[in-house]
Amino acid sequence: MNQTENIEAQLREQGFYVSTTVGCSMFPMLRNRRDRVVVLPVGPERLRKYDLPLYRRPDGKYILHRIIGVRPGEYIIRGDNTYAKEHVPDSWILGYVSEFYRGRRHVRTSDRGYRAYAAVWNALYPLRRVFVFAKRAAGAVWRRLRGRRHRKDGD
Amino acid sequence: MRINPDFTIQKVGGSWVAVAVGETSKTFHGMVRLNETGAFLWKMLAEKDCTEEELVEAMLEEYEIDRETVTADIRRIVETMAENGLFVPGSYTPAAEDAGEPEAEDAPEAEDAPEEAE
Repeated sequence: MNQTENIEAQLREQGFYVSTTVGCSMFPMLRNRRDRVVVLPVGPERLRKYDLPLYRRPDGKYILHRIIGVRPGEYIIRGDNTYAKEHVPDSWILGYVSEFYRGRRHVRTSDRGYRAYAAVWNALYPLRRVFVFAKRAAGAVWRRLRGRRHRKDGD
Repeated sequence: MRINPDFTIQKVGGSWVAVAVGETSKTFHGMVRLNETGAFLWKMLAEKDCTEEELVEAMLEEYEIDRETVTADIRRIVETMAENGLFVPGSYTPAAEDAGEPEAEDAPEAEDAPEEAE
């Protein structure tokens, strides 16, 4: 039984790293502090589109998002629940998710079903974006209307 | 004694690994690697509150070993689990070592909680 903190050391010494996911940037697939991922170190082969790399930004922060584009020397990455693309050089990548547990459900990222899910989710991005902007705009209008009504009530 | 239900165990390759979820994952960041025996005991302790005697009996049924070895092994594993803060608080009481000799007054004090480096 042993417990280590450093992810790089864990990957190097144990050959894998298991962790609970924190944050909601990969929601709905991975939920905050509920689901667990198994990360394997990257080998000489490059990762593929829809893979889930674990990387470390120069500021020291560990991130686990999805590859949506593969380019020479870098990957284009975006979280399932985020809206910005990030250009991540190969050198930042520490490992990739080989399998994960969503609650009790066990999923291997090499499964065809999982890859289909990733492709569909990625294809829905434009809709997701429109939906979120529409929701934000509606919220702004709603707040403005409420604000006006409150002022009226106060008169 | 009983394992804190905020820990989950999964098989990765040939070994068993436990990590914390929920509130406990805010303070417990590591992973606990267990061998087959450790995982066997873990599963029992995750299911219900067990006494050392119950663990010994279950192990004797599962593996061909003598009672003395099993008891010593279980005590060692359980102590390590307790040191790492894996049990539901208050559910574990250290086994009384063949009563008699009281502890020397200058014995080093046990740490209250395992140190967690961020």
